[in-house]
Amino acid sequence: MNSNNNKFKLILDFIELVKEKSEWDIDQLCSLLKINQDDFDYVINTLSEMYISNDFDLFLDIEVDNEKVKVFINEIATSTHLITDSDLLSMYKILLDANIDSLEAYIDSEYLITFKETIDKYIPTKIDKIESIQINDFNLFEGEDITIDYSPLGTTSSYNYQIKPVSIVNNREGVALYAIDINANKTKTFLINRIINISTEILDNPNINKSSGSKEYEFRFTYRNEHVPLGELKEDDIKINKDNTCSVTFRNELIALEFYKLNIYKIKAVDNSAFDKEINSSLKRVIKLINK
Amino acid sequence: MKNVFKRCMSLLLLFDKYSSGIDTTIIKDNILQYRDLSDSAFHRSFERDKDVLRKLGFEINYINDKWELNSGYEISGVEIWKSIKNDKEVDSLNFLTTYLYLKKIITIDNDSFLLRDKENFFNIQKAINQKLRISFIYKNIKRIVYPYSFKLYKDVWYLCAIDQDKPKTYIVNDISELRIGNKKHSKNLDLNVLPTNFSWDENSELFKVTLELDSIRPYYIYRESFIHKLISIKNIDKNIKLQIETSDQLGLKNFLILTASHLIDIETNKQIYIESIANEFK
Repeated sequence: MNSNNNKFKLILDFIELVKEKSEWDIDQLCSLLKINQDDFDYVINTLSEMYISNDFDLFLDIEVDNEKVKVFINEIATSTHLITDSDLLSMYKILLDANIDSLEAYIDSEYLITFKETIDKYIPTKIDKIESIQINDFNLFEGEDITIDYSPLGTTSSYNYQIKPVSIVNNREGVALYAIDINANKTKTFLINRIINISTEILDNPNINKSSGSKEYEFRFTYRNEHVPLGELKEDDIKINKDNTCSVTFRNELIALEFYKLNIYKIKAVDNSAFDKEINSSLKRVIKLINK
Repeated sequence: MKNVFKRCMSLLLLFDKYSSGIDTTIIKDNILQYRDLSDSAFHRSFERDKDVLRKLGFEINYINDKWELNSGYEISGVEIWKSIKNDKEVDSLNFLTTYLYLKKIITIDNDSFLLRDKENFFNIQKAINQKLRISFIYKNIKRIVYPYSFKLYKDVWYLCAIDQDKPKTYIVNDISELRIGNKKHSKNLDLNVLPTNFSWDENSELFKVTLELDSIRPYYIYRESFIHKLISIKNIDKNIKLQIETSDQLGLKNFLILTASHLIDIETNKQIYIESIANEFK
Protein backbone atom coordinates (compact mmCIF):
# COMPACT_ATOMS: atom_id res chain seq x y z
CA MET A 1 0.00 0.00 0.00
CA ASN A 2 1.44 3.39 -0.91
CA SER A 3 1.80 6.22 1.57
CA ASN A 4 -1.20 8.21 0.25
CA ASN A 5 -3.40 5.20 0.80
CA ASN A 6 -1.86 4.81 4.27
CA LYS A 7 -2.79 8.41 5.04
CA PHE A 8 -6.35 7.83 3.89
CA LYS A 9 -6.52 4.63 5.93
CA LEU A 10 -5.29 6.55 8.96
CA ILE A 11 -8.10 9.09 8.50
CA LEU A 12 -10.67 6.28 8.22
CA ASP A 13 -9.32 4.61 11.40
CA PHE A 14 -9.46 8.00 13.16
CA ILE A 15 -13.11 8.49 12.15
CA GLU A 16 -14.02 4.99 13.35
CA LEU A 17 -12.42 5.68 16.75
CA VAL A 18 -14.18 9.00 17.25
CA LYS A 19 -17.47 7.43 16.18
CA GLU A 20 -17.09 5.00 19.09
CA LYS A 21 -16.24 7.75 21.59
CA SER A 22 -16.46 11.47 20.83
CA GLU A 23 -13.93 12.74 23.39
CA TRP A 24 -10.33 11.46 23.57
CA ASP A 25 -7.01 12.32 25.18
CA ILE A 26 -4.85 13.26 22.22
CA ASP A 27 -1.96 11.16 23.55
CA GLN A 28 -4.16 8.09 23.85
CA LEU A 29 -5.53 8.57 20.36
CA CYS A 30 -2.03 9.06 18.92
CA SER A 31 -0.81 5.95 20.70
CA LEU A 32 -3.70 3.84 19.36
CA LEU A 33 -3.13 5.08 15.83
CA LYS A 34 0.68 4.91 16.18
CA ILE A 35 1.10 8.52 15.06
CA ASN A 36 2.98 11.59 16.31
CA GLN A 37 1.71 15.15 16.85
CA ASP A 38 2.49 16.15 13.22
CA ASP A 39 0.41 13.25 11.88
CA PHE A 40 -2.36 14.16 14.30
CA ASP A 41 -2.37 17.77 13.03
CA TYR A 42 -2.45 16.46 9.45
CA VAL A 43 -5.53 14.30 10.23
CA ILE A 44 -7.33 17.20 11.93
CA ASN A 45 -6.54 19.65 9.10
CA THR A 46 -7.60 17.20 6.40
CA LEU A 47 -10.85 16.38 8.18
CA SER A 48 -11.60 20.08 8.74
CA GLU A 49 -11.18 20.69 5.01
CA MET A 50 -13.39 17.72 4.19
CA TYR A 51 -16.08 19.16 6.38
CA ILE A 52 -15.90 22.52 4.62
CA SER A 53 -15.97 20.98 1.14
CA ASN A 54 -18.78 18.55 1.74
CA ASP A 55 -22.05 20.11 0.77
CA PHE A 56 -24.61 17.38 0.99
CA ASP A 57 -24.56 16.90 4.73
CA LEU A 58 -22.82 18.30 7.75
CA PHE A 59 -20.15 15.71 8.31
CA LEU A 60 -18.22 16.52 11.48
CA ASP A 61 -17.23 19.18 13.96
CA ILE A 62 -13.85 19.10 15.69
CA GLU A 63 -12.73 20.88 18.87
CA VAL A 64 -9.12 20.60 19.98
CA ASP A 65 -8.54 21.84 23.51
CA ASN A 66 -5.03 21.40 24.97
CA GLU A 67 -4.72 17.68 25.55
CA LYS A 68 -8.19 16.67 24.48
CA VAL A 69 -10.02 16.39 21.20
CA LYS A 70 -13.81 16.30 20.77
CA VAL A 71 -15.33 15.21 17.48
CA PHE A 72 -19.04 15.34 16.72
CA ILE A 73 -20.19 13.40 13.70
CA ASN A 74 -23.57 13.56 11.99
CA GLU A 75 -25.85 10.56 11.65
CA ILE A 76 -24.91 9.63 8.09
CA ALA A 77 -21.20 9.52 8.84
CA THR A 78 -21.90 7.54 12.02
CA SER A 79 -23.64 4.79 10.11
CA THR A 80 -20.91 4.50 7.43
CA HIS A 81 -18.54 1.58 7.91
CA LEU A 82 -14.89 2.27 7.23
CA ILE A 83 -12.95 -0.81 8.43
CA THR A 84 -12.77 -3.19 5.48
CA ASP A 85 -13.11 -6.96 5.40
CA SER A 86 -9.77 -7.08 3.54
CA ASP A 87 -7.98 -5.39 6.44
CA LEU A 88 -9.58 -7.59 9.06
CA LEU A 89 -9.06 -10.80 7.10
CA SER A 90 -5.44 -9.95 6.24
CA MET A 91 -4.77 -9.58 9.96
CA TYR A 92 -6.78 -12.75 10.71
CA LYS A 93 -4.85 -14.75 8.11
CA ILE A 94 -1.50 -13.62 9.54
CA LEU A 95 -2.62 -14.79 12.99
CA LEU A 96 -3.68 -18.15 11.56
CA ASP A 97 -0.53 -18.52 9.40
CA ALA A 98 1.79 -17.77 12.27
CA ASN A 99 -0.24 -19.93 14.64
CA ILE A 100 -1.68 -17.95 17.53
CA ASP A 101 0.18 -20.09 20.08
CA SER A 102 3.50 -19.05 18.53
CA LEU A 103 2.53 -15.37 18.46
CA GLU A 104 1.72 -15.39 22.17
CA ALA A 105 5.46 -15.14 22.76
CA TYR A 106 5.40 -11.72 21.11
CA ILE A 107 1.94 -10.26 21.68
CA ASP A 108 -0.34 -10.25 24.72
CA SER A 109 -2.61 -13.27 24.23
CA GLU A 110 -5.71 -11.31 25.31
CA TYR A 111 -5.51 -9.18 22.17
CA LEU A 112 -4.92 -12.20 19.93
CA ILE A 113 -7.84 -14.14 21.39
CA THR A 114 -10.27 -11.19 21.35
CA PHE A 115 -9.49 -10.48 17.72
CA LYS A 116 -9.59 -14.10 16.54
CA GLU A 117 -12.73 -15.06 18.46
CA THR A 118 -14.60 -12.00 17.22
CA ILE A 119 -13.72 -12.65 13.56
CA ASP A 120 -14.51 -16.37 14.02
CA LYS A 121 -18.11 -15.35 14.76
CA TYR A 122 -18.55 -13.78 11.35
CA ILE A 123 -16.30 -15.85 9.09
CA PRO A 124 -17.03 -19.52 9.63
CA THR A 125 -13.50 -20.84 9.17
CA LYS A 126 -12.23 -24.26 10.16
CA ILE A 127 -8.62 -24.43 11.20
CA ASP A 128 -6.65 -27.65 11.13
CA LYS A 129 -4.54 -27.43 14.24
CA ILE A 130 -0.80 -27.82 13.90
CA GLU A 131 1.03 -28.83 17.05
CA SER A 132 3.08 -26.05 18.53
CA ILE A 133 5.89 -26.06 21.00
CA GLN A 134 5.56 -23.36 23.61
CA ILE A 135 8.33 -20.84 23.83
CA ASN A 136 8.81 -18.97 27.08
CA ASP A 137 6.31 -16.20 27.50
CA PHE A 138 7.78 -12.83 26.57
CA ASN A 139 6.16 -9.65 25.46
CA LEU A 140 8.77 -8.52 22.99
CA PHE A 141 7.45 -5.12 22.19
CA GLU A 142 8.39 -3.49 25.46
CA GLY A 143 11.65 -2.28 23.95
CA GLU A 144 13.89 -4.87 25.60
CA ASP A 145 16.90 -6.39 23.78
CA ILE A 146 16.71 -10.16 23.57
CA THR A 147 18.70 -13.08 22.26
CA ILE A 148 17.06 -15.53 19.87
CA ASP A 149 18.25 -18.93 18.76
CA TYR A 150 17.31 -18.84 15.08
CA SER A 151 17.57 -21.31 12.25
CA PRO A 152 17.87 -19.38 8.95
CA LEU A 153 16.02 -20.60 5.86
CA GLY A 154 17.69 -23.43 3.99
CA THR A 155 19.40 -24.94 7.02
CA THR A 156 18.57 -26.83 10.18
CA SER A 157 21.51 -25.32 12.06
CA SER A 158 20.73 -22.49 14.44
CA TYR A 159 22.57 -19.37 15.56
CA ASN A 160 22.23 -16.72 18.25
CA TYR A 161 21.16 -13.22 17.35
CA GLN A 162 20.96 -10.33 19.79
CA ILE A 163 18.02 -8.27 18.56
CA LYS A 164 15.62 -5.44 19.33
CA PRO A 165 12.14 -6.36 17.96
CA VAL A 166 10.39 -3.70 15.87
CA SER A 167 7.24 -5.31 14.46
CA ILE A 168 5.73 -8.42 12.95
CA VAL A 169 5.54 -8.54 9.16
CA ASN A 170 4.29 -10.94 6.53
CA ASN A 171 6.84 -11.39 3.76
CA ARG A 172 7.07 -13.88 0.88
CA GLU A 173 8.63 -16.47 3.17
CA GLY A 174 5.98 -16.27 5.90
CA VAL A 175 5.19 -14.38 9.09
CA ALA A 176 8.37 -12.86 10.50
CA LEU A 177 9.75 -10.79 13.34
CA TYR A 178 11.25 -7.57 11.98
CA ALA A 179 14.07 -6.54 14.30
CA ILE A 180 17.39 -4.72 14.60
CA ASP A 181 20.31 -7.18 14.70
CA ILE A 182 22.40 -5.38 17.31
CA ASN A 183 25.74 -6.97 16.38
CA ALA A 184 25.29 -6.42 12.63
CA ASN A 185 23.70 -2.99 13.29
CA LYS A 186 21.00 -3.47 10.66
CA THR A 187 17.38 -4.53 10.45
CA LYS A 188 16.58 -8.14 9.54
CA THR A 189 13.55 -10.39 9.40
CA PHE A 190 13.39 -13.64 11.39
CA LEU A 191 10.67 -16.13 10.50
CA ILE A 192 8.54 -16.79 13.57
CA ASN A 193 8.33 -20.54 13.02
CA ARG A 194 12.14 -20.84 12.86
CA ILE A 195 12.88 -19.07 16.14
CA ILE A 196 13.85 -21.96 18.34
CA ASN A 197 14.36 -20.17 21.62
CA ILE A 198 14.12 -16.70 23.11
CA SER A 199 15.98 -15.38 26.10
CA THR A 200 16.55 -12.05 27.80
CA GLU A 201 20.12 -13.13 28.62
CA ILE A 202 22.85 -11.43 26.62
CA LEU A 203 25.38 -14.14 25.82
CA ASP A 204 29.12 -13.44 26.17
CA ASN A 205 30.14 -15.92 23.47
CA PRO A 206 27.16 -16.27 21.17
CA ASN A 207 27.14 -18.82 18.36
CA ILE A 208 26.94 -16.25 15.56
CA ASN A 209 26.12 -17.07 11.91
CA LYS A 210 29.24 -16.07 9.99
CA SER A 211 28.04 -17.21 6.56
CA SER A 212 26.25 -13.97 5.76
CA GLY A 213 27.83 -13.46 2.32
CA SER A 214 25.83 -15.85 0.13
CA LYS A 215 25.29 -15.75 -3.61
CA GLU A 216 21.82 -15.28 -5.10
CA TYR A 217 20.49 -18.39 -6.82
CA GLU A 218 18.01 -18.53 -9.70
CA PHE A 219 15.89 -21.67 -9.50
CA ARG A 220 14.15 -22.82 -12.69
CA PHE A 221 11.15 -25.15 -12.59
CA THR A 222 7.93 -26.27 -14.26
CA TYR A 223 4.59 -27.04 -12.59
CA ARG A 224 3.76 -30.75 -12.33
CA ASN A 225 0.06 -30.28 -13.04
CA GLU A 226 -1.67 -26.94 -12.92
CA HIS A 227 -0.42 -23.61 -11.64
CA VAL A 228 -0.97 -23.72 -7.89
CA PRO A 229 0.07 -21.30 -5.12
CA LEU A 230 3.62 -21.94 -3.87
CA GLY A 231 3.64 -20.93 -0.21
CA GLU A 232 3.81 -17.19 0.30
CA LEU A 233 5.24 -16.53 -3.19
CA LYS A 234 3.20 -13.98 -5.10
CA GLU A 235 2.71 -14.13 -8.86
CA ASP A 236 5.08 -11.18 -9.30
CA ASP A 237 7.90 -13.16 -7.64
CA ILE A 238 7.76 -15.83 -10.36
CA LYS A 239 9.35 -15.01 -13.73
CA ILE A 240 7.97 -16.83 -16.78
CA ASN A 241 10.79 -17.65 -19.21
CA LYS A 242 10.60 -17.81 -23.02
CA ASP A 243 10.65 -21.64 -22.94
CA ASN A 244 7.59 -21.55 -20.59
CA THR A 245 9.61 -22.61 -17.57
CA CYS A 246 9.39 -20.48 -14.40
CA SER A 247 12.18 -18.91 -12.34
CA VAL A 248 12.44 -17.56 -8.83
CA THR A 249 15.56 -15.91 -7.41
CA PHE A 250 16.48 -16.85 -3.84
CA ARG A 251 19.05 -15.38 -1.48
CA ASN A 252 21.16 -18.54 -1.77
CA GLU A 253 21.15 -22.09 -3.14
CA LEU A 254 20.20 -23.73 0.17
CA ILE A 255 17.03 -21.64 0.41
CA ALA A 256 16.15 -22.62 -3.19
CA LEU A 257 16.67 -26.31 -2.36
CA GLU A 258 14.48 -26.06 0.74
CA PHE A 259 11.78 -24.32 -1.32
CA TYR A 260 11.99 -27.17 -3.85
CA LYS A 261 11.62 -29.81 -1.14
CA LEU A 262 8.64 -27.96 0.35
CA ASN A 263 6.92 -27.88 -3.04
CA ILE A 264 8.19 -31.16 -4.47
CA TYR A 265 4.70 -32.43 -5.26
CA LYS A 266 3.76 -29.25 -7.12
CA ILE A 267 6.87 -28.41 -9.16
CA LYS A 268 9.80 -30.09 -10.92
CA ALA A 269 13.30 -28.59 -11.26
CA VAL A 270 14.54 -28.03 -14.82
CA ASP A 271 18.05 -29.19 -15.79
CA ASN A 272 19.22 -29.27 -12.20
CA SER A 273 21.22 -32.43 -11.55
CA ALA A 274 22.43 -31.24 -8.12
CA PHE A 275 18.88 -30.78 -6.82
CA ASP A 276 17.67 -34.03 -8.45
CA LYS A 277 20.54 -35.89 -6.76
CA GLU A 278 19.67 -34.39 -3.38
CA ILE A 279 15.98 -35.24 -3.74
CA ASN A 280 16.75 -38.81 -4.83
CA SER A 281 19.10 -39.29 -1.93
CA SER A 282 16.45 -38.01 0.55
CA LEU A 283 13.84 -40.22 -1.05
CA LYS A 284 16.07 -43.35 -0.94
CA ARG A 285 16.80 -42.74 2.72
CA VAL A 286 13.10 -42.40 3.59
CA ILE A 287 12.16 -45.54 1.63
CA LYS A 288 15.04 -47.51 3.14
CA LEU A 289 13.95 -46.58 6.66
CA ILE A 290 10.32 -47.50 6.00
CA ASN A 291 11.33 -50.77 4.30
CA LYS A 292 13.79 -51.96 6.92
CA MET B 1 -4.11 14.21 -2.72
CA LYS B 2 -6.51 15.81 -0.25
CA ASN B 3 -8.99 16.29 -3.12
CA VAL B 4 -8.93 12.55 -3.80
CA PHE B 5 -9.59 11.86 -0.09
CA LYS B 6 -12.50 14.29 -0.17
CA ARG B 7 -14.08 12.69 -3.22
CA CYS B 8 -13.53 9.15 -1.88
CA MET B 9 -14.91 10.06 1.54
CA SER B 10 -17.92 11.67 -0.12
CA LEU B 11 -18.44 8.50 -2.18
CA LEU B 12 -18.37 6.33 0.96
CA LEU B 13 -20.92 8.58 2.66
CA LEU B 14 -23.11 8.76 -0.43
CA PHE B 15 -23.25 4.99 -0.91
CA ASP B 16 -24.26 4.60 2.71
CA LYS B 17 -27.30 6.83 2.13
CA TYR B 18 -28.73 4.47 -0.48
CA SER B 19 -29.61 0.88 0.30
CA SER B 20 -29.79 -0.19 -3.37
CA GLY B 21 -27.84 0.64 -6.53
CA ILE B 22 -27.27 4.26 -7.53
CA ASP B 23 -26.61 5.56 -11.03
CA THR B 24 -23.96 7.99 -12.19
CA THR B 25 -26.43 10.91 -12.30
CA ILE B 26 -27.03 10.62 -8.56
CA ILE B 27 -23.28 10.31 -7.91
CA LYS B 28 -22.47 13.36 -10.06
CA ASP B 29 -25.26 15.50 -8.62
CA ASN B 30 -24.41 14.73 -5.01
CA ILE B 31 -20.66 15.18 -5.00
CA LEU B 32 -19.51 18.73 -5.37
CA GLN B 33 -16.11 17.90 -6.92
CA TYR B 34 -17.77 15.89 -9.73
CA ARG B 35 -20.66 18.24 -10.46
CA ASP B 36 -18.96 20.73 -12.76
CA LEU B 37 -16.96 18.15 -14.72
CA SER B 38 -17.80 17.13 -18.28
CA ASP B 39 -19.18 13.59 -18.65
CA SER B 40 -15.87 12.16 -19.83
CA ALA B 41 -13.86 13.96 -17.11
CA PHE B 42 -16.37 12.77 -14.48
CA HIS B 43 -16.07 9.16 -15.66
CA ARG B 44 -12.26 9.30 -15.63
CA SER B 45 -12.27 10.80 -12.14
CA PHE B 46 -14.89 8.35 -10.83
CA GLU B 47 -12.93 5.35 -12.20
CA ARG B 48 -9.72 6.61 -10.54
CA ASP B 49 -11.51 7.10 -7.21
CA LYS B 50 -13.10 3.64 -7.45
CA ASP B 51 -9.59 2.25 -7.94
CA VAL B 52 -8.26 4.09 -4.86
CA LEU B 53 -11.16 2.72 -2.82
CA ARG B 54 -10.65 -0.80 -4.23
CA LYS B 55 -7.01 -0.73 -3.08
CA LEU B 56 -8.27 0.10 0.40
CA GLY B 57 -10.74 -2.81 0.33
CA PHE B 58 -13.97 -1.07 -0.73
CA GLU B 59 -15.47 -2.64 -3.86
CA ILE B 60 -17.77 -0.46 -5.98
CA ASN B 61 -19.41 -2.51 -8.72
CA TYR B 62 -22.26 -2.04 -11.12
CA ILE B 63 -25.07 -4.49 -10.32
CA ASN B 64 -27.40 -5.48 -13.15
CA ASP B 65 -30.91 -6.27 -12.00
CA LYS B 66 -32.92 -8.07 -14.66
CA TRP B 67 -36.12 -6.21 -13.67
CA GLU B 68 -34.22 -2.89 -13.80
CA LEU B 69 -35.48 -2.03 -10.32
CA ASN B 70 -32.22 -1.95 -8.40
CA SER B 71 -29.58 -1.64 -11.11
CA GLY B 72 -26.74 0.69 -10.34
CA TYR B 73 -23.48 0.95 -8.41
CA GLU B 74 -23.26 -0.72 -5.02
CA ILE B 75 -20.50 -0.79 -2.45
CA SER B 76 -19.30 -3.89 -0.58
CA GLY B 77 -16.32 -5.00 1.49
CA VAL B 78 -17.27 -3.95 5.03
CA GLU B 79 -19.58 -6.82 6.00
CA ILE B 80 -17.56 -7.98 9.02
CA TRP B 81 -17.24 -4.57 10.66
CA LYS B 82 -20.90 -3.91 9.93
CA SER B 83 -21.86 -7.18 11.65
CA ILE B 84 -19.65 -6.38 14.65
CA LYS B 85 -21.23 -2.94 15.01
CA ASN B 86 -24.72 -4.42 14.83
CA ASP B 87 -23.99 -7.23 17.28
CA LYS B 88 -25.10 -6.13 20.74
CA GLU B 89 -23.01 -8.87 22.36
CA VAL B 90 -19.75 -7.46 20.99
CA ASP B 91 -18.03 -4.42 22.47
CA SER B 92 -17.09 -2.68 19.22
CA LEU B 93 -14.78 -0.14 20.89
CA ASN B 94 -12.85 -2.94 22.57
CA PHE B 95 -12.60 -4.81 19.26
CA LEU B 96 -11.48 -1.67 17.41
CA THR B 97 -8.77 -0.83 19.94
CA THR B 98 -7.65 -4.48 19.87
CA TYR B 99 -7.41 -4.37 16.08
CA LEU B 100 -5.49 -1.08 16.15
CA TYR B 101 -3.16 -2.45 18.84
CA LEU B 102 -2.39 -5.49 16.64
CA LYS B 103 -1.98 -3.23 13.61
CA LYS B 104 0.71 -1.31 15.52
CA ILE B 105 2.73 -4.51 15.90
CA ILE B 106 1.79 -6.46 12.80
CA THR B 107 2.38 -4.82 9.44
CA ILE B 108 -0.39 -5.83 7.07
CA ASP B 109 -0.95 -5.22 3.42
CA ASN B 110 -3.97 -6.29 1.47
CA ASP B 111 -1.89 -8.86 -0.43
CA SER B 112 -1.55 -10.85 2.80
CA PHE B 113 -5.06 -12.06 2.20
CA LEU B 114 -3.82 -13.93 -0.92
CA LEU B 115 -7.04 -14.06 -2.86
CA ARG B 116 -7.25 -13.06 -6.49
CA ASP B 117 -10.96 -12.48 -6.34
CA LYS B 118 -11.89 -11.01 -2.98
CA GLU B 119 -15.40 -10.24 -4.20
CA ASN B 120 -16.10 -13.99 -4.58
CA PHE B 121 -14.95 -14.59 -1.02
CA PHE B 122 -17.11 -11.82 0.43
CA ASN B 123 -20.16 -12.87 -1.60
CA ILE B 124 -19.80 -16.48 -0.45
CA GLN B 125 -19.40 -15.24 3.12
CA LYS B 126 -22.65 -13.31 2.71
CA ALA B 127 -24.36 -16.44 1.32
CA ILE B 128 -23.16 -18.50 4.33
CA ASN B 129 -24.41 -15.89 6.80
CA GLN B 130 -27.78 -15.53 5.07
CA LYS B 131 -28.19 -19.30 4.40
CA LEU B 132 -28.36 -18.91 0.61
CA ARG B 133 -27.50 -21.50 -2.02
CA ILE B 134 -24.82 -20.60 -4.56
CA SER B 135 -23.85 -21.76 -8.04
CA PHE B 136 -20.50 -21.41 -9.81
CA ILE B 137 -18.27 -22.93 -12.45
CA TYR B 138 -15.46 -25.09 -11.08
CA LYS B 139 -13.15 -27.14 -13.28
CA ASN B 140 -15.49 -26.41 -16.23
CA ILE B 141 -18.52 -27.90 -14.46
CA LYS B 142 -21.45 -25.98 -13.04
CA ARG B 143 -21.95 -26.69 -9.31
CA ILE B 144 -24.96 -25.81 -7.19
CA VAL B 145 -24.01 -26.08 -3.53
CA TYR B 146 -24.92 -25.14 0.04
CA PRO B 147 -21.87 -23.30 1.43
CA TYR B 148 -21.09 -23.63 5.15
CA SER B 149 -17.47 -22.79 5.88
CA PHE B 150 -14.06 -21.66 4.68
CA LYS B 151 -10.87 -23.57 5.32
CA LEU B 152 -7.37 -22.13 5.23
CA TYR B 153 -4.72 -24.69 4.40
CA LYS B 154 -1.13 -23.92 3.40
CA ASP B 155 -1.98 -20.40 2.28
CA VAL B 156 -4.94 -21.43 0.16
CA TRP B 157 -8.53 -20.53 1.02
CA TYR B 158 -11.03 -23.34 0.39
CA LEU B 159 -14.81 -23.29 0.41
CA CYS B 160 -16.54 -26.16 2.22
CA ALA B 161 -20.02 -26.86 0.87
CA ILE B 162 -22.65 -29.56 0.49
CA ASP B 163 -22.83 -30.68 -3.14
CA GLN B 164 -25.55 -33.29 -3.87
CA ASP B 165 -25.67 -34.24 -0.18
CA LYS B 166 -21.89 -34.74 0.06
CA PRO B 167 -19.48 -32.35 1.82
CA LYS B 168 -16.86 -31.11 -0.64
CA THR B 169 -14.04 -28.55 -0.80
CA TYR B 170 -13.27 -26.06 -3.58
CA ILE B 171 -10.32 -23.67 -4.04
CA VAL B 172 -11.92 -20.20 -3.78
CA ASN B 173 -9.50 -18.72 -6.33
CA ASP B 174 -10.68 -21.27 -8.94
CA ILE B 175 -14.38 -20.44 -8.59
CA SER B 176 -15.85 -18.45 -11.47
CA GLU B 177 -19.26 -17.16 -12.52
CA LEU B 178 -20.50 -17.12 -8.94
CA ARG B 179 -24.25 -16.61 -8.54
CA ILE B 180 -26.08 -16.30 -5.24
CA GLY B 181 -29.63 -17.57 -4.74
CA ASN B 182 -32.29 -15.30 -3.34
CA LYS B 183 -34.26 -17.74 -1.18
CA LYS B 184 -33.16 -18.86 2.28
CA HIS B 185 -32.60 -22.62 2.51
CA SER B 186 -33.51 -24.68 5.55
CA LYS B 187 -30.63 -27.17 5.46
CA ASN B 188 -28.99 -27.79 8.81
CA LEU B 189 -25.38 -26.77 8.25
CA ASP B 190 -23.89 -27.04 11.71
CA LEU B 191 -20.21 -26.16 11.50
CA ASN B 192 -19.45 -28.27 14.56
CA VAL B 193 -20.84 -31.40 12.93
CA LEU B 194 -19.97 -31.02 9.26
CA PRO B 195 -16.52 -32.17 8.13
CA THR B 196 -13.96 -29.91 6.49
CA ASN B 197 -11.53 -32.57 5.35
CA PHE B 198 -10.65 -32.35 1.69
CA SER B 199 -12.75 -34.14 -0.91
CA TRP B 200 -9.66 -36.13 -1.92
CA ASP B 201 -8.95 -37.02 1.68
CA GLU B 202 -10.89 -40.32 1.42
CA ASN B 203 -12.55 -39.91 4.78
CA SER B 204 -9.27 -38.85 6.36
CA GLU B 205 -7.39 -42.12 6.58
CA LEU B 206 -5.29 -41.83 9.73
CA PHE B 207 -1.56 -42.53 9.67
CA LYS B 208 0.23 -43.40 12.88
CA VAL B 209 3.91 -42.71 12.49
CA THR B 210 6.82 -43.06 14.89
CA LEU B 211 9.88 -41.06 13.89
CA GLU B 212 13.34 -41.03 15.40
CA LEU B 213 15.35 -37.91 14.63
CA ASP B 214 18.90 -36.89 15.57
CA SER B 215 17.55 -33.79 17.34
CA ILE B 216 14.33 -31.88 18.00
CA ARG B 217 15.39 -28.98 15.77
CA PRO B 218 14.34 -30.39 12.33
CA TYR B 219 10.92 -31.26 13.74
CA TYR B 220 10.54 -27.82 15.24
CA ILE B 221 11.57 -26.06 12.01
CA TYR B 222 9.41 -28.10 9.63
CA ARG B 223 6.51 -29.02 11.91
CA GLU B 224 4.18 -26.60 10.13
CA SER B 225 4.70 -28.31 6.77
CA PHE B 226 1.99 -30.83 7.73
CA ILE B 227 -1.13 -31.01 9.86
CA HIS B 228 -0.71 -33.54 12.61
CA LYS B 229 -1.21 -34.37 16.23
CA LEU B 230 1.89 -34.92 18.31
CA ILE B 231 1.07 -37.86 20.59
CA SER B 232 4.34 -38.17 22.45
CA ILE B 233 7.92 -37.00 22.42
CA LYS B 234 10.77 -38.89 24.13
CA ASN B 235 14.54 -38.48 24.43
CA ILE B 236 16.49 -41.60 23.46
CA ASP B 237 20.17 -40.98 24.21
CA LYS B 238 20.97 -38.02 21.98
CA ASN B 239 18.02 -38.64 19.65
CA ILE B 240 14.32 -37.93 20.02
CA LYS B 241 11.39 -40.20 19.25
CA LEU B 242 8.10 -38.66 18.11
CA GLN B 243 4.74 -40.36 17.86
CA ILE B 244 2.53 -38.59 15.36
CA GLU B 245 -0.98 -39.03 13.98
CA THR B 246 -1.91 -37.40 10.70
CA SER B 247 -4.36 -37.52 7.82
CA ASP B 248 -2.27 -35.09 5.80
CA GLN B 249 -0.43 -37.63 3.63
CA LEU B 250 1.00 -35.07 1.26
CA GLY B 251 2.27 -32.91 4.10
CA LEU B 252 3.85 -35.93 5.81
CA LYS B 253 5.69 -36.87 2.62
CA ASN B 254 7.02 -33.31 2.37
CA PHE B 255 8.12 -33.43 5.99
CA LEU B 256 9.99 -36.71 5.48
CA ILE B 257 11.85 -35.36 2.42
CA LEU B 258 12.74 -32.17 4.31
CA THR B 259 14.07 -34.01 7.36
CA ALA B 260 15.55 -37.07 5.59
CA SER B 261 19.16 -36.34 6.57
CA HIS B 262 18.14 -36.21 10.26
CA LEU B 263 15.94 -39.33 10.26
CA ILE B 264 17.19 -42.36 12.17
CA ASP B 265 14.08 -44.53 12.05
CA ILE B 266 10.51 -44.54 10.69
CA GLU B 267 7.64 -46.85 11.60
CA THR B 268 4.24 -46.49 9.93
CA ASN B 269 1.02 -48.46 10.05
CA LYS B 270 0.60 -48.29 6.26
CA GLN B 271 2.81 -50.36 3.99
CA ILE B 272 1.23 -48.93 0.84
CA TYR B 273 2.74 -45.61 1.80
CA ILE B 274 6.17 -46.55 0.42
CA GLU B 275 4.85 -46.93 -3.12
CA SER B 276 2.94 -43.67 -3.08
CA ILE B 277 5.84 -41.67 -1.67
CA ALA B 278 8.10 -42.75 -4.52
CA ASN B 279 5.66 -42.74 -7.42
CA GLU B 280 4.08 -39.35 -7.03
CA PHE B 281 6.98 -37.26 -8.21
CA LYS B 282 8.65 -39.40 -10.81
